[in-house]
Amino acid sequence: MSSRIPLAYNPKVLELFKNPKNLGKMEDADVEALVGSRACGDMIAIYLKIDDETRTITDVSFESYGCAANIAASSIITEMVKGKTLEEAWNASWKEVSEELGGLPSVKFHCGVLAVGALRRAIRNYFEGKELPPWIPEKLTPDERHALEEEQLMEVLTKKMERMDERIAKEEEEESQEEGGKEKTAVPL
Amino acid sequence: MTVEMSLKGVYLSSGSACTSRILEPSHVLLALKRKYEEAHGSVLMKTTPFLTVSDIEYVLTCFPEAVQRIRSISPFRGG
Repeated sequence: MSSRIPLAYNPKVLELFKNPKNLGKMEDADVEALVGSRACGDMIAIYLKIDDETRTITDVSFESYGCAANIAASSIITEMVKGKTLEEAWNASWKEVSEELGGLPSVKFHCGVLAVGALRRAIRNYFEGKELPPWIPEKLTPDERHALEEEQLMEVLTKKMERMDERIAKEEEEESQEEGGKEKTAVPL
Repeated sequence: MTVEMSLKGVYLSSGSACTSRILEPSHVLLALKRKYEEAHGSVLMKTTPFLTVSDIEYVLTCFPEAVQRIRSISPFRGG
């Protein structure tokens, strides 16, 4: 499958892209998570306001740097978990996100995964320094890992660029040495 | 940006690798020392002899609007 095949977004995705729900930074959020990376070109920020007693999400908002599916997926997940308990929110899957959107194109599944990863990382952040409830596994879930992997990809790309810079510098040095050599041989002529 | 502009009737292509299998931004722009956001933010527009001045004026009006709206959704501040 190549990028030249037009993406078939359904009307729900386009509607949320045009009019996202719960959009914007929440200044007084209890927890937040920023996942994805600038290198990949898709990032999601999730902000949660949580009632400590009932452990319910009382308010939620998002910001997105990405494609239309990314914006729609993060918008729909905020609608899905608003008013839900943290446990219910934790159990939202990327497949449900995709279903709620009326189906994401296969090349855009990762947008749903990233949205779930963002939400889960925000929920995990909430329990930092607290006792982890039994429904949160100690090991990171695949969605959370996906969110982290994109951050790691950023590091890989940065290293790659550094190596490229070193190679260019070395080549330039070699070239200047060669030119220097030619000048020397040119003198006797 | 491609979706936003297509909703306005302007069809362009983007440097966003989000649609391809490889999630890497343009290696050419990166080699030109552009930042990741800049490399992802590149767009390609082509003109043809059939375009009119008013077509171009239309793009010049709605393109900045589109950029502004997409930026307002993003978690990055100051562009």
